[in-house]
Amino acid sequence: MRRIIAAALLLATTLAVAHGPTRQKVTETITINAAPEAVWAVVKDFDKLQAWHPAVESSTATQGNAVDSERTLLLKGGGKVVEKLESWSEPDRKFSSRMREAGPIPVSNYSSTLAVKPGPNAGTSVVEWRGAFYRGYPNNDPPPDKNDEAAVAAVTGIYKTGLANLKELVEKK
Amino acid sequence: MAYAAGLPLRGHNAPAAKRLFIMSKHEVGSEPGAAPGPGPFNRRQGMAGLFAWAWPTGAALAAEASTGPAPLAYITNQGSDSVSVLDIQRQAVVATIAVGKQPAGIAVSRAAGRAFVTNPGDHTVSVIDLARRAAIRTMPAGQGAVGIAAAPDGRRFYVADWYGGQVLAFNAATLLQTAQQAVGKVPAGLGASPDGRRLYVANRDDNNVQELDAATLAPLRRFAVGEHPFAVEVSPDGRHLLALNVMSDDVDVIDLAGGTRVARIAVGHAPYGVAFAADGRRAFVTNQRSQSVSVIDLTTFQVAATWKVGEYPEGIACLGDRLLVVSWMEDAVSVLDAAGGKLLATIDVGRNPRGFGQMVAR
Repeated sequence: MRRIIAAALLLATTLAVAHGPTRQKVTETITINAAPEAVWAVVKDFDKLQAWHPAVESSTATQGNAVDSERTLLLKGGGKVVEKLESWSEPDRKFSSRMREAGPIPVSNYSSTLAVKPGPNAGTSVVEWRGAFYRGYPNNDPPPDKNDEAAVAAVTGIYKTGLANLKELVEKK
Repeated sequence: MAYAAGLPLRGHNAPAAKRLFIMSKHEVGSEPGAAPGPGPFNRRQGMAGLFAWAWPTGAALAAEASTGPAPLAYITNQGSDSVSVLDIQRQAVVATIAVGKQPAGIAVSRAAGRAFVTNPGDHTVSVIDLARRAAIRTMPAGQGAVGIAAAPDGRRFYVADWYGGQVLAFNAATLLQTAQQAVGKVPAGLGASPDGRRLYVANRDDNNVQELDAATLAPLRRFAVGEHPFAVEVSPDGRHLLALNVMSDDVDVIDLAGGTRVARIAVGHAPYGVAFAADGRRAFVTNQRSQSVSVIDLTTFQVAATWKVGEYPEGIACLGDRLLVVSWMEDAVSVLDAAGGKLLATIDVGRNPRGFGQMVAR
């Protein structure tokens, strides 16, 4: 029995890292009419994505903003995403994480960085959300809903929706 | 990319200029399966084709004629379906060559006068004529090849079929397949021994590197390495094989005479590419997720230095005192001083550049 479990875990690990040869990247930015400190205050907590991303029902993390903290995101409409924090910096106002479970998002080997930078004028900020990932389907000739374009479209949608909502939220305050 | 105005077409450049004019008829955008050699002049492509090819200046042409081939690097742009030709001395892109879909691997062969590119997006290989700076053929090769290498004598090139679990050998002149060998799971990088007798393939999902006869592809030895070997290369003196383990974040050094591992060197996260210093005493390894290059001393097998570079450094090549590092995230190539790691220049290339393999002519 133990051998079967071990084999299943090994398979799961292999599948988790199995990916094709073509990595994709998405970068989305938004300018917000608020100082970087104010924007950072809203986004900085790894366990508080639910507070500003409209697709997230709940978000909890195991170790707050410490490296290796794991957050579990329950999505509205069902689905669970798990991410591990790889780096977090208050002076740089940025953090990076790597996805351990992609849930319904058609990606694999996904990592992303969220950064708040000073904007073009005083009292403004530019938020940059950047991700690198492979499509979820690891084999050749993927179906259209699981191909590279689908992966890029899904991640772009997540970033655009989140950043637009963040802007609205912060500027309303 | 238009370079129409004010180009020198007279004087000492006249013969060279004429050569360039004729070649421009069939450069960028060669059809898959098209035969090499002059094809019918395509009027629609004609004028656009003339200007789309970056036209070297008169000075550069004169320099090329007098001092031998310019130091060039060929960067596969996986997001632009093209290869950027970088002149390392001028620190500029001098040509952009259309190839197949999602190009990744590259093997430049001075002896063959060609560069070979894998296009995993459409299961093809593109063959670039170095003098013409154009793809003369894009042809099917397995189910999706990624790794590619050229024989040192330029007579053959090899591809590792990532999805097909095999290595294929081709005649570099006729482009006909000469051999095929089933290998392990997800064959990734390929490295040829400098004496031309052996070929090494990283079986990524089997955690081993397999040695093949370079002429027949007959399987010989197998070396167990770390987790998920990706790139493999043989040192210029032929003595050591380096395997980069992208999951265990280390480099295995195999002594090829004895067939045993002599070192396992911890490097940064997800090591992707390796290049050797001109004197063979050091190796440079890109760490994709650490934004750094590890400099390995090949006499002690220790990391001598770690240099900060751009985000997602991937392809790497050393030419004389210059180290080129491709930054996949930044869509650029960094030129560093190979002795101390100082950044000398950053050159923008196409989208999602990788440069997996041999980016400069051996």
